[in-house]
Amino acid sequence: MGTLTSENRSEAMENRIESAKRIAYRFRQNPLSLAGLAIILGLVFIAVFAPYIARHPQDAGYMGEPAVDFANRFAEPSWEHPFGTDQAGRDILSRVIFGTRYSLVLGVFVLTFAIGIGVPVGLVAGYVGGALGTLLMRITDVFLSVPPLVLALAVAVPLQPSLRNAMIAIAIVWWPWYARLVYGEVVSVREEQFVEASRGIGASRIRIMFREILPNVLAPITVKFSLDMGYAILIGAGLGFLGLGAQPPTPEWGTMISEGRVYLPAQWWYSTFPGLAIFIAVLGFNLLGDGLRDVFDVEVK
Amino acid sequence: MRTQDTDTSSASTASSGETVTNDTASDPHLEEDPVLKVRDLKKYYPITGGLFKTKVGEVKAVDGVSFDVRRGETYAIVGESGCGKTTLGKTIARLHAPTSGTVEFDGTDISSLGERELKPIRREIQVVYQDPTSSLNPRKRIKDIVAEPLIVHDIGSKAERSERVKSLLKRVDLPVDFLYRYPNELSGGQKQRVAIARALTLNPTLLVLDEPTSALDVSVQAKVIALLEELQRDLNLSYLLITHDLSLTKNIADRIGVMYLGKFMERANAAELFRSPQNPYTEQLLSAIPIVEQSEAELKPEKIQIRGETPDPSDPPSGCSFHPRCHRAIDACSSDEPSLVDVGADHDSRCLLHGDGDDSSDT
Amino acid sequence: MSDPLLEISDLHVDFNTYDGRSKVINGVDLHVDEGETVAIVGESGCGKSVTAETIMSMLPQPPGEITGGELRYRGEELLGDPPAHKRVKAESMGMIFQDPMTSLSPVFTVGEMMRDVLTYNGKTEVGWLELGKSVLGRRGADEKAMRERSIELLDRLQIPDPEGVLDRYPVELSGGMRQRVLIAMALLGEPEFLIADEPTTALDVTVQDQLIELLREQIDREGLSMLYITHNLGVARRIADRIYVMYAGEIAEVGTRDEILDEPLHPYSRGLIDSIPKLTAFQREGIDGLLPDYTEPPQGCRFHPRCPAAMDGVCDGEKPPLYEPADGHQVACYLYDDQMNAQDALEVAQTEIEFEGGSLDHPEVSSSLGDETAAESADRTEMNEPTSGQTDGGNR
Repeated sequence: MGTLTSENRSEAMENRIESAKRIAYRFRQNPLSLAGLAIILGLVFIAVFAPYIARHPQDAGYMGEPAVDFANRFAEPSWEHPFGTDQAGRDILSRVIFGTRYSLVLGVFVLTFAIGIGVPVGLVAGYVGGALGTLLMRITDVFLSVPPLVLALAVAVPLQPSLRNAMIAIAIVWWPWYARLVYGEVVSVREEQFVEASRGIGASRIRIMFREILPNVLAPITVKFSLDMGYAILIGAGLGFLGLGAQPPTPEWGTMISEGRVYLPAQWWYSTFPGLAIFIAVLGFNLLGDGLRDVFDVEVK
Repeated sequence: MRTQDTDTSSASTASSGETVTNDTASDPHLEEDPVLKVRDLKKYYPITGGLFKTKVGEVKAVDGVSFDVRRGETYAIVGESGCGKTTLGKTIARLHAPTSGTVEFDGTDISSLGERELKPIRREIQVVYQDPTSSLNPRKRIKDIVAEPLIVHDIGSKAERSERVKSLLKRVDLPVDFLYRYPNELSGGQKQRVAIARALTLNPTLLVLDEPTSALDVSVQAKVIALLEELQRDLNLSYLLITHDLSLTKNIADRIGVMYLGKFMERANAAELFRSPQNPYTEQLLSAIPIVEQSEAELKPEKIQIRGETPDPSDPPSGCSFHPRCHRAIDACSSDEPSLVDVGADHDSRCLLHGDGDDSSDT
Repeated sequence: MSDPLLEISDLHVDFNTYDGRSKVINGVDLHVDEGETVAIVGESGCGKSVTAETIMSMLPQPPGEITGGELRYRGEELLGDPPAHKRVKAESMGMIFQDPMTSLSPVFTVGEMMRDVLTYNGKTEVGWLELGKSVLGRRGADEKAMRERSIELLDRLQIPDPEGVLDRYPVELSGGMRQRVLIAMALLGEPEFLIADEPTTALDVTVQDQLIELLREQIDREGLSMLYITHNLGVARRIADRIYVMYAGEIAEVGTRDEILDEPLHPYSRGLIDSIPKLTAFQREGIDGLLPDYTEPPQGCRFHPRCPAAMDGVCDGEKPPLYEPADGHQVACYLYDDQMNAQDALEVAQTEIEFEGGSLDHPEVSSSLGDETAAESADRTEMNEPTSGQTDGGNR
């Protein structure tokens, strides 16, 4: 029986590989989503290997405080400094490269927190329902009724401005979106007969929610995660721009734009290149999210 | 199923000593020591409306149903959509809580048990649903689906569970290499076999079969039915078969209850029901059976001109609920409510034409 | 015999999928004579709906692709001539769909939809002017005539209170009533040819019975021809003059209703009929196996891997031709040949086709069945003992 089982396993593996190929096929149907994937992989690569890619890692605060070189301030883009230098003579390209780290970390932290809170809330509200469900969803609605950036500002202002507090502020803004998404999905999955069948077996509510229903709502969560990474980065940069996020001289993109703003338009490169970086990151996550949406065939707002 | 008759009769002889003290002895439908004893079961759904969701009415989905399922028999509930047969099955399996009435399983009234006390009962009563595509979780492998009841009831070690799942797959004639597949990699018939295997995992006594074959292709149905019959014989299962397919019940059911708008219109053993249907509704159902072979024509009643459709269950007709569609209706039918009247051995029917229900066996 | 009203010859339809090219329709020949009702029966995925879609020029292309064959209506070839196809469809054909809930628009009343059908009926192109006129409101006389015509049709389909129904939305009607409205709409344009795709599948037997009756009446009254697609052989018996049995994109057998249902020749027809629980008996064998993969269909007869009478080296060679043992009764199976007459063919069918475990015993003969069952279950216990993990409680 043992060998038979391992054969079954390998056949099952083949099935998995086959279905992975199928997904890849559908993903490939849309070249833009491939471009998105390439952008994201590129960003991750840059973030991981930033110290080796950047020519002046010390300018971005690598292994210590960001270096200064006033002799070289506001150098125009050149071979030595392709994105130019800032008011302290630091290489902007190196700083943009290191900025990738902050933005990705911010996005991942915010969304992990948002999913960690929002998904259980949506599951409970959707499956248990009743007064508890109504209460949870009304709380969610209160959060959703305020524009995200405004709410994030309201949370961030009383806190000490820092990258960490900005992340907390955004996460608090974000979870209701997941609660709402999951709630909607759960309400439809709840009616499927396998949920009733599981109840008929005697399974507990917790088990039904997490073992039966949750796996069926993972696809839309994944798609939303990808789409939201871009927005989270955008809002993080927004807070940085308003001085409520990472503080100078941290090489965070929003903060850098904010700093460079006063030197516009003469030293145009200071704000432009971090702005472009934000643009590319947001675009990449959106394209990928669209592609995933097609692959999983789900509707996500 | 039909072959089970001998077993059942011997079982009832064995317990015939109690017959005298048994208050249901006078009613041949209400057998002593049945596996399932349903008495005056009601399931009403409130209809809410208005701004504050106040109750404005109710749907009497199941409205006073009584019957017994004997050990090892197949009791079929037949009716059209909206007659309450699915609700009845789910209420008996305690997927819904009944509004009133009792459901006795093996002598225990399970109608008002809470979820915790129900758990051991859940091992005994299992449901097989109509559409396996919906009743199997698409994100779980077959092995996890079939093993789930064991995990939920914390039975056996991991290795024991895996052995049990394998033997169950064999029992329903599926190859063992389906263990690692997902439901969407299987055909409809194969999925239904998985659903049957899952229902068998805990060695149940009673299976509620809710249209177990109507979502399957014809050539697949036959084998699934044959499997269910074989399992019944081998494991001495009792079946509550819920279906709209009269031809199927003729072939596999021992006894049949015909339901209309939440009530039984007629109850009889299968052969009797087809030989001499007493209720006009049963006559209409039989006459509407689409026959395949010419030879079947003589086995069904003369063509009856049928009128209308099942009315809205939230607003059933007065008197006999079937009277607006009935080809035999008389004036009294719109005002007087008939009750079940004995019309033969092990056979009763709800119709005013049977005379007044003085000796009614209605419970 | 005069020319048929509708004729399909050697139709091939492919679908392009991830797995490759699916040959979904593989050389289908079919005709519907004037005034005749023909049923195509087969299980899900056999290609019956694709055939209907091809006739109605509703085949989604891509992924579908008509790779060969002809479709003639009153002798006029339509597949190569889309404008003609459109015209013929608009002028002469009506379609009744399976699911009234999805084929009736939920936001219009029955009356509005019927009015639209009457307004645009028979037109392949509608000008902006006309569209604008109809949106802004119609002339009173037209309006009245249309309403009367709608009421007349609803009345003919025995819809109670037809005037009231005109002002109702589809959700306010019962399933049977919706299906009647759908039939009424198909008849509004006075077609001479109807295609019905499983119109009674979702309905209760008593309602189905009434609808089939009604449909028959309408057909007889107007002298229409109809192609009726169904998986329900009982329904086919009620409605059809002739029946095509379709399997895996090919015609397995064609004949009159009685020939197909009472004396089937093709092993597939036989298996299908035997699989249905009947009032007389129920053969529990079914048919082993599954529909083939259309991207790599079996060589020769597409049914041979599931066929109990398959002959090595014959059935897996060439696709079987249609033999015709009786006039009009054709069967695509190598069990038969051109020399056979109806009697011979029937004998062959009875002796050669036996599905697994195929006992011809009447299940009602329970006297002998008792022993048989005992023996059978003894076999089974033996077979299952070593593998059975349920040592305790297996038999309660």
